[in-house]
Amino acid sequence: MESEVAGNTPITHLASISEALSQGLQNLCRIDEDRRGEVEQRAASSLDSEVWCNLPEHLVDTVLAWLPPASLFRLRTVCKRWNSVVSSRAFLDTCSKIKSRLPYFLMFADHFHRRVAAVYDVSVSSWHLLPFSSFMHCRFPESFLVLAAAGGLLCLEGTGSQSGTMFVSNPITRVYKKLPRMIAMKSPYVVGMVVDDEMKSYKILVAQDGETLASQVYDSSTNRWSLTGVYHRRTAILAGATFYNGLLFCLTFSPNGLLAFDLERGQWLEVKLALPPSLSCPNLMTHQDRLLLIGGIEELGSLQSVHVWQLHPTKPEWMDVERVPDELFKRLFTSSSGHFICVGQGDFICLHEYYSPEILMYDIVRSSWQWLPGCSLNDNIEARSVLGFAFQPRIEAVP
Amino acid sequence: MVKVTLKSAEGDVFEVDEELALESLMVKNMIEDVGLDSAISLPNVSSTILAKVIEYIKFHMDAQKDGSKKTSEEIKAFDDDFVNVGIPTLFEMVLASNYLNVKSLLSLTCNTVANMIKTKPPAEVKEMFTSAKQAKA
Repeated sequence: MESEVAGNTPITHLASISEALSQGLQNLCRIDEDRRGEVEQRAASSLDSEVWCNLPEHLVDTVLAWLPPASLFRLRTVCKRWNSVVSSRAFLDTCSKIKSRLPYFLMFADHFHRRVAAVYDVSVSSWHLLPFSSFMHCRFPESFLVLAAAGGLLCLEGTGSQSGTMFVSNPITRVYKKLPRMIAMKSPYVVGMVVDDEMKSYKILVAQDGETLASQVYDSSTNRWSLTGVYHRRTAILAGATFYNGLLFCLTFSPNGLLAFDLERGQWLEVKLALPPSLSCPNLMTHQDRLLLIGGIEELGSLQSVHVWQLHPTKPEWMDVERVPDELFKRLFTSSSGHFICVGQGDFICLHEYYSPEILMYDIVRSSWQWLPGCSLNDNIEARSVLGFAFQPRIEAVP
Repeated sequence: MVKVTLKSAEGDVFEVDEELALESLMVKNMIEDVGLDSAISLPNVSSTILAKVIEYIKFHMDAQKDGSKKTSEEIKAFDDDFVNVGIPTLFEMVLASNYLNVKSLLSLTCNTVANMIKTKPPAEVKEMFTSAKQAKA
């Protein structure tokens, strides 16, 4: 097996998670630290303090488990117990029971020069730096691309000397694992990644499209790639894989619409569901029990509007449920290219034009739109690449 | 519909549907052990808090029923409003949801406390979570 996880035995592994946690979170805090002045509020009233000090320890831990990682790190200094509890196995278990966390949107990155990315943390409405430097192993790639995200994990591929090598990383703890070499394919690419919370395992689907569609799946529980699911039709996968109702859905140019991959059976299924006409830059996401499609509508090659559609609960059709209001649309698209990135996670969708620093966020539950604050990293990056991935920050997720 | 009688710390009696009572895993276990004949005594929960917990469970049970017209926006608004209470009440609700073992309410209340402290400086949080006596000691 070519895989390597930081630490070999369970005990040292936990120790490395705790070490990773402190180092990872320390870096994560940088932008947050700068903002501390802004968020400093008046001291708690004496009444408040008399209340919370009576909270039993295990409930204090449950409260801490709900904190976003950057806050958790900052508040470790409150007392010795808080400092030690956050790296205990029991605490990580408590964290894993939290079903959903407010997402991190990974939007700007300078992988090639500084191996650092900027994430927008919805829970504190601010940006954090996310360093990808290798601190436990020197074999982490010098430069890389992010290919997929699921749960608290990112799937990365090395570039340059590590080209073709895949890694799965928890960007918060910076614990990572190198995946075994995949089965040779002509021009494979990662379609999507699915985390099974119950089994604490994940699967990565890789496909090669063309005259026929071939695919292979990596399963972390066996640490193996296996060839599975051939689809005997000309296929061109577009993007936007999302896990919905036990199937990994992805948008396709050919056939025009959707294909779904059944991870259990290892089969491709054609979904008889046409996409809205003149669709551009589409992406899929799951929200609660709904499958959403986000994309633009073009007319004579120029972008007219950006919509959110929902798969009809009983009929094979898309229902138009939301569109970017005209005024926001005008500010969002300043160039004529009309190419944009949309990425959804949890209750939120982020939209932005390629290479534009303005990011618009939609809160699906509250039906509200807001502009994200500027990201300081954005100005410093020479070769900025735009990613468009979102993930839940989970300190307990192990690659 | 089978009714369950819950008795608060003050001895006030709340009669609720069995379906609602079973949402509290603690009450569920009590019913399994002692049956429905006598009132279930909850000496750790005051009448005010018990009424709040019942209100919370009832709203969410109705929202989950088929044919419920409640949107996720309305549910979110209810939750936001529900925990928009004074600190002592919020504290009591954390304790009660833990004692009664109502997982969704424990999540909601603990998340609310986490949101209160997430942007505060450590010194301020320390002051909140350590009593005057402990600080002096």
